[in-house]
Amino acid sequence: MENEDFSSLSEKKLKKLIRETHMVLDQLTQELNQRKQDKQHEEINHIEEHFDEASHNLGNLKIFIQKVFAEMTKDK
Amino acid sequence: MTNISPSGAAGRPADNMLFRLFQWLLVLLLIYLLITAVGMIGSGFKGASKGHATELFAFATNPFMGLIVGVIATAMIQSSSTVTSIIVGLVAGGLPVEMAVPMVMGANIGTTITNTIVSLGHINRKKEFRRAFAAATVHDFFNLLAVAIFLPIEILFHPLQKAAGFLATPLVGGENMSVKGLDFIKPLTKPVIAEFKTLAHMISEQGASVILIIFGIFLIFMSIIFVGRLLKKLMVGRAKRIMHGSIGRGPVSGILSGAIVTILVQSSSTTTSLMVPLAGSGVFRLKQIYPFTLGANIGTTITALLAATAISGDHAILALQIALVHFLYNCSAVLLIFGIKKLRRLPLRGAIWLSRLAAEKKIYALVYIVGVFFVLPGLMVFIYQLVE
Repeated sequence: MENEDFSSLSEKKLKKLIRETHMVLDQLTQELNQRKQDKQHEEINHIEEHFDEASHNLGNLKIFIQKVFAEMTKDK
Repeated sequence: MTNISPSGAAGRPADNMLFRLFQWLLVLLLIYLLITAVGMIGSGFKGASKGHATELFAFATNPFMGLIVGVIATAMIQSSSTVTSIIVGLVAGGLPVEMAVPMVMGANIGTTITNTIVSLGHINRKKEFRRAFAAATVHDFFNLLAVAIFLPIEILFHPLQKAAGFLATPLVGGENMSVKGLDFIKPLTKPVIAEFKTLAHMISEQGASVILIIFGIFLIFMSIIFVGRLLKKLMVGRAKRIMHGSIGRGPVSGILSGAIVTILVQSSSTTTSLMVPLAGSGVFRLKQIYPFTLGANIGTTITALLAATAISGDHAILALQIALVHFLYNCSAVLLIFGIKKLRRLPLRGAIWLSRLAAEKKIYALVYIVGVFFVLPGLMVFIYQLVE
């Protein structure tokens, strides 16, 4: 597309191309948003797992502290 | 399609309905216990302070001390609902509202530690950790900013206290419109409180009031934990529907769904923590998580309002006033900070900056958690005592 020469095209044709490109862009954006939203709906469908994950936070702290110390020793 | 009971086993629909009914009855019982426990704290504190509550809490006459008490207490027990309910009980027992306001604000900061700790679970994957940590700390930065704005204003002009007092008077019934005759909570809670009072007297005649407070705190803590667990099971379907409905609808819908989900599960820590893995996976963006966590701040105020219904008599207005301060404070903070573009961006920028740092060097995350929730408040206590 970058290397295409548009100089031979009439203004009318250019305008038409722009309109069509805009339409395609809109459709692509819509499709992308739809996919993102589908993923979000999918995640929400598994919310029970996240509830469980959220309730085991003290274990996280222990693992995190171990990692911090490991990182510090590695840096030394 | 077979019905699956919450325990995971397939069962008959009638059995499941009975089980759900039993769970709902348990929820009601636990809410009753929560309300009774707040009454216990009020009664115990009244007895322990013997009308000298201000002297007993003399250390909190400095609003920063009150703030620190709220931060540390909530960070330790990881439940702002418990702390605000206890504060309502203390106000009912004679703690001046003015002293309680900074404690409530502190509880807002303290509660953010839970989702921050949840985000640490993503430590093994750098990108995921960065996103999860940002989603957690955006809540911290928002609450810190809210305190930085509202606490000085409150110290100087008491707008929240005045507005809450204005709203509480007609709701409870002031001098001219007593609703003592319509008070249906007291007859329900009084027998249980009396039983606990007798028990406390049996344990120690002199320390009965303190024992009653301890019973109250224990009961609040347990009832909030169990009601949260039950509601999570019972309300998960409804929470899902609300969250599904808010997708792709903008920040106001995010705030509303955050508030409603928090009311349903009775815990802001649960809702804000819930969003951390969703952000960590990259499916939800920080900008989407941010309004949801703000909604959680508003939704959590329902517990203190519920707790305030436990109080009757002279201090009922004050108990409701502090619960309303909690509600008004969180609503005002959302309106002001989220309403003004430049202010709205500050928590986002802070969270992004800190999460980048923490993803590179994990020690920064540790320094931040220990510093904000423990060292800084501790240092302020130390400085305050030194000045005193």
